[in-house]
Amino acid sequence: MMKKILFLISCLLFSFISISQNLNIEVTYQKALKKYNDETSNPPKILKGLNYLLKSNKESAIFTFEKSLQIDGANQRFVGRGGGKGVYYKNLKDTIRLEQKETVDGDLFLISDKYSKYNWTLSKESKKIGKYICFKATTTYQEFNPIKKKMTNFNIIVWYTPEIPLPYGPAGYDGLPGLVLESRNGSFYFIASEIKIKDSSLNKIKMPQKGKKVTLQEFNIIINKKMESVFGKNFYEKFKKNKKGN
Amino acid sequence: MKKLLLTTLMTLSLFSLNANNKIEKTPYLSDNGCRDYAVAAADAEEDAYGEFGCSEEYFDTAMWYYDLCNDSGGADAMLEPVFL
Repeated sequence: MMKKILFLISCLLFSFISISQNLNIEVTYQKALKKYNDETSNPPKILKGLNYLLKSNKESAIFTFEKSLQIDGANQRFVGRGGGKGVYYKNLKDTIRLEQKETVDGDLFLISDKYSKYNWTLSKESKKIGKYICFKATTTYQEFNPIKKKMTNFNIIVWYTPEIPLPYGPAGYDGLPGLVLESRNGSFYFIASEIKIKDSSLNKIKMPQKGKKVTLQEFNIIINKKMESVFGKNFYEKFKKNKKGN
Repeated sequence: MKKLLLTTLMTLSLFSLNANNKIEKTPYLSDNGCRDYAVAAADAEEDAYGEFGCSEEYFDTAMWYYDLCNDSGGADAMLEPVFL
């Protein structure tokens, strides 16, 4: 019995060490939807054609949407809901966190954000995703929304696995002691559907270069201006006022 | 002389008609109720699926409804969005 336990422990240690030394992974995530107020045990519904790829090597990671012909018109608008639009880049060595985004009117931006964006609360709650045991972590963060002219709260739930000791995750939900295999922001989920751990070649990851360099705060203000150019000045306040009046 | 005046007037009126048409065709300036529709639809979507994660998510969603409405010929042709 003791021998069996020792054997299992050494196997686990071996796989841990080999992954840590390698650090070359490719994870495919699917976006899924379950209304934030749905309290049933039903699993979230996979949104067909909304697949994303996370690639990482020893010092950096990149997360992008994978364009697909399978995507239908209705799902197309969910590409960026709950995060996931554009390119997310993180470099551990140079502590860089960037997002490259193209707005609907065709302007390209390179947005810099806080390197450690989330202050995670780790929980002992666990579940299995594929063959990996994952632990729950949660965070709440606030962001000023210039359209609504108020602070907005977001609650993020993720499931990460210490079995893959990489601090990355989908759509920038990262900074944990293991790879994030599932995340939830409101009604939108990212769920890992395929994990490839590469043995030989290094993943070549290039930092995005193109786009106007702005901070996240500046980007949000630009978006607000773009919206007002289409919908009129203070459109959101006017809409809410009219809604209350009716 | 009369002919010249008449031709000039006709040309001017044609120009003015064209200018009016141009304003109607310019994207974002045309309305058909689509601006109000798009903002209301984005708001309803937010009620159904939770707050938009950032300003850009709001912009993308509102623009999606706005384009859909314009492509359909205006807000009168649109149904209230249903969120499953």
